Amino acid sequence: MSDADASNIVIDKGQSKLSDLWTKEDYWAIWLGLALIVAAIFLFLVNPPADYRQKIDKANAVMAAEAQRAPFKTIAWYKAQDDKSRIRARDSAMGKAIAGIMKTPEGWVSNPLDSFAVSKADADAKAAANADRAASSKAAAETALAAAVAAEKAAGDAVFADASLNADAQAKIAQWRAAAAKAKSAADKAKSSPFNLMTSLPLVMVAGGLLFAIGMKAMGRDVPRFLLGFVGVFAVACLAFMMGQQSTMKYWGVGAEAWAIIIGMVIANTVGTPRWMHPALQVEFFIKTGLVLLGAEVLFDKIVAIGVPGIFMTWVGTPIVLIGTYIFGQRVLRLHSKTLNIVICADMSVCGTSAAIATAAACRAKKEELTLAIGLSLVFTAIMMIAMPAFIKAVGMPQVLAGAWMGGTIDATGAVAAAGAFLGETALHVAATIKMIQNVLIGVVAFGVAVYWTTRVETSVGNTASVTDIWHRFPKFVLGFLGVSILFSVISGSLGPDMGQALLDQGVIRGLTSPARNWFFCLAFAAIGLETNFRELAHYLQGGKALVLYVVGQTFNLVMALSLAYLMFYVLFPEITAKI
Amino acid sequence: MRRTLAGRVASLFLSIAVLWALFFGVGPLLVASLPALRHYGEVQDIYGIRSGQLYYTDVETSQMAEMNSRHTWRFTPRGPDGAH
Repeated sequence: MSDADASNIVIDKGQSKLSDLWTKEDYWAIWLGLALIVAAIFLFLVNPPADYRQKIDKANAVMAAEAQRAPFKTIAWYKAQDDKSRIRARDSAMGKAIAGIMKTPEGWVSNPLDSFAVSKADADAKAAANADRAASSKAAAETALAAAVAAEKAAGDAVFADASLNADAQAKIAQWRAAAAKAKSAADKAKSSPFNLMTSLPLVMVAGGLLFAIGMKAMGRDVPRFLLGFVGVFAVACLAFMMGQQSTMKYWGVGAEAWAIIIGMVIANTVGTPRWMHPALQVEFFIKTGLVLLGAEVLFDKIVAIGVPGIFMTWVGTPIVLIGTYIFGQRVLRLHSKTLNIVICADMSVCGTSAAIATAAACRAKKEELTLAIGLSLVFTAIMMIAMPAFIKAVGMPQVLAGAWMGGTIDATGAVAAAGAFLGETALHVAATIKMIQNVLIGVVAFGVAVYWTTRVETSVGNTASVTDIWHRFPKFVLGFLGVSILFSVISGSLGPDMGQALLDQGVIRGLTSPARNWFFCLAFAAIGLETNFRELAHYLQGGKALVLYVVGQTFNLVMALSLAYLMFYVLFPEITAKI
Repeated sequence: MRRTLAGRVASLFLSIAVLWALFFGVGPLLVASLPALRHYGEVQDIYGIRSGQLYYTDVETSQMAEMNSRHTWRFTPRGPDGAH
């Protein structure tokens, strides 16, 4: 690796000394991430409300009784599940206050300023405009519920022994669920309230700037210049959040992170990134800290959420696609850059951008390689999230098979959920669950790639492979990422799925660590864009090998995921499939 | 080749114009002409999904999806005789 290349990688290389603990970026990423995690644990996990357990037990008792009463999910079964989903630690007064501060720019249609502030008069006007629709949706949901109640009663009167009455009740219940979701969405729109992010965004900027400034100071960097530049990077991140929230972006799957790169690149390659912003282009520091926080979201107990079919599809199928495509890239395409190869493979086979970030940091990929992998993923996600549901609908594929197929193949998690919702609630639930289990795989992939790179790839260019050398080169923040993941998985497992969801998932994670991680990743992508030169990026596109790699890998992925989904859900576990 | 300040500013505005035309001109035209795309946007609004979201914890509805999948195994509806 040349000196020029070495200065352009995602993580640094160091010699291990005790002082590394307070002078190296990898460790500071761990300390800052841990500081936020500890704060979140104190806020949401310590002293949970006493009635949570009671409410959960009550809902579980209803579901257990209903499962014994009827051979399908009844109205009471679903209502008990809905009650459980409303038990959320982040709904506390403190949780709501934090959510108010951490808020990113909101949705808008034609006026970008609506993303940052809406007055009371405008909010009232918006609510009034949506009131009629909310009322009619509510009435439709009530009608659907009445029909579902009548159909379920008819099936019950026949002691659930009449298959046609059971099927009719199931269909009516599904219609009620769809109508209820629509009514809830309409009601939310009719409750539009005023907000002004001009007070909270500066707070986030100051808090974020000071947090990273602690690390910058300890690492001997110029803090005042960093803070000045941070204002500019933060402004780009805010613009990116705003653009990602524009109402038409949902059709193309372009979120804040992609916009951060686009806006940054436009600035860098036209007027040029202002010099005063350069000290704050700390891509690695932002990414590594975000990844340590992401570790809290990699909960290994999630892999059993949909039983053996989900584990097999994601934890057997996905690694085969990842490794198979990587070997294809090295042996057949003979890609010059192994790091570009593995980042594209992880991006395509695991879960898009988040997997690309974790893998790129673990194998010291160049910023341009990460940008290229994300760009490829964005383009193919936009195509697949629209083409796959259309194809599935045309061929009449069952919703469970369709959901599992899309969950295992479409890169971005939001796009998977959207494509599933296009087909119906069952497809949405299966697709989102399969993707969630696949999301968890990024912990193993990042760690595996870091180990492989340190012990095999980097030794092949002349480095010795003694244990000490491996430790010197190993990206330490990966240990923080994995350590946090293991710690949270243990906590989640000991709390059990219900309390784990209420306190960890809907408290510690979605209450604080996940919003913070979102900000850090957006800052990182803004910095990547502001540092990226179009000409350097074009160099990686030459020959089209990256594109061929992605297309071949994704084709393999599509075949593998469909085969495994059919085998698991329709050959080996059809009884569970029938109940989903 | 170094560009002049005017050239760089012009390319900035040109980039903004191209992006604006793509996302606010061509995009809405495509959506208006394809009913399937409109349905795609509607379901995202109903379930509170944004197709650009990165991770499962960003997608609010993933909680309900996980619950539903987990409960299907945990409280599998079997009926009065357990044979259905």
